[in-house]
Amino acid sequence: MTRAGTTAVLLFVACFALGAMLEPKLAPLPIYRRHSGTPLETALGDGRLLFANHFYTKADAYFHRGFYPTIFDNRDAFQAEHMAAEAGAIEEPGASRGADFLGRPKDWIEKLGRSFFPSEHTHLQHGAAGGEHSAPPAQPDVREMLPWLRLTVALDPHKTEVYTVAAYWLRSQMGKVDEAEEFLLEGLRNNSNSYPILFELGRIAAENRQDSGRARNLWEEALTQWKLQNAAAEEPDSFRLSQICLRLAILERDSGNFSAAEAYLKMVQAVSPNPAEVQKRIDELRLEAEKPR
Amino acid sequence: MASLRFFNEEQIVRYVKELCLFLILLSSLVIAITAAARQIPAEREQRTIFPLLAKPVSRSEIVLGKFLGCWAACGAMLVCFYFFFALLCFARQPAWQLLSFLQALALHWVMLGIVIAFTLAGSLVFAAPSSTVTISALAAGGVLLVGRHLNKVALQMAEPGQSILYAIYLAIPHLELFDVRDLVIHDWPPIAWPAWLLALAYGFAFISFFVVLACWRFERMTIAK
Repeated sequence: MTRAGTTAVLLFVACFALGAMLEPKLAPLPIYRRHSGTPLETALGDGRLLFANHFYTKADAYFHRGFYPTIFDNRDAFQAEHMAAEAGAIEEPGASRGADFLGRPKDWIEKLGRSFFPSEHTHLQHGAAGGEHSAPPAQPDVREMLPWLRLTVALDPHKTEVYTVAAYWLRSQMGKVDEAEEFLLEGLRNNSNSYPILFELGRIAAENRQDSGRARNLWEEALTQWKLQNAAAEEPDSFRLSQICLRLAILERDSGNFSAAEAYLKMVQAVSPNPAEVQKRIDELRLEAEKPR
Repeated sequence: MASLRFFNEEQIVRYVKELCLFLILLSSLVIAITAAARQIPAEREQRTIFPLLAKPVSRSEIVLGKFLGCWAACGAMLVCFYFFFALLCFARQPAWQLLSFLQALALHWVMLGIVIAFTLAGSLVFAAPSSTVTISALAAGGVLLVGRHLNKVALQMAEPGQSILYAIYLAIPHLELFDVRDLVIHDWPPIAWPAWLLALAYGFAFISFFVVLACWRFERMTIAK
């Protein structure tokens, strides 16, 4: 073997020995601890959160069948994901319906160009209207969003909104209640105190399993978690509080616990943008309670 | 990717279509640019250009032959790519828009024609095939990514920047007109025929322009022995 070859082999042996010696000492250090995560965490680090947001937006773009603003367009109507608003996971922004970010074409090229990309605001066909309790329609297109939602939580398991959005579409439009529940439970394992996930699990128990006892437990736990997490918040999540309390109020009314139902409605009234409307509901409830049984 | 199952749902297809069409676009552009950039420089390097010029053909005919050869080869490649793409889509989604698919294939081919003609003209201007490839790839990628939005950016600028950028917007070949992946992915109805034909005419106009430019440049070129 030549001198250069021998030197290369010796250097390689030295590197290997050094690596074997240092690795056990360095492995417990915090800087190397991230290597114990999933391959995605190891490969992307915190950068995976950026990709997660991108894929979540991608799912919303699929919900619009490709009609989605770019960074060059007016994104006012697309600040919040419409698929999440429609699933009830977030509050629906006022001007989102029928929003057209394109405006009038500025020249003939732009006018012609609109024939070659999706240029109409539309949402994926998601079966029969008002169909939460009805039989799921055949082959709903909303399934096309699911890969992106799955990918989003693979990259960021703490994005709780994704679990509730995917679960809504799975159970209400595709009739896949088991898959929805499984996905929510996975979300709950990753985010043990998430009140939106608890709320959505309660909806499955009430609407799909007809198990009002379990639904009550889940919603009461959701309310407890809401109080714990929003007690010191500057802007409490009043949208989700309304959802939880309204469901609990309906459940208590149906069980004949009118005073408990009224208490929940008063909690809704305290955060509602339209307290007069809630007061009407309270009055109706009182009338119902006074009726002889 | 195509074998993945999400939530026990077998008919999810659009993400596969998106991935396939992206790979088809990317690979077709790479093949078209690298093939076109080497046509005439390679003949010069290997000195096979001289026996070619000695034949009873004009220089313009040589350029035209090079262009048509490249374009036809890219067309054959596209047909293969789209055939396997169609098989994959059909296996997962038997009801799909064949007409949209054929329109997309034709538009894609015309787009490659523009890119090949531009690259061929560039290969007669730039010093080496590597620089031609780099410049052509950057130009094609740039137009595909931001070409559609240059007018919006221009309108937000002050003069004279506004007029200059708007003129550039009007002058560049709008390759994005031929990129109809979103329509195919999301099962939109076929493109209206007048718009489709107008886009083809627009594409052929740019192809003619770049081919004439390449012929003109090659006619005046001194080829040293």
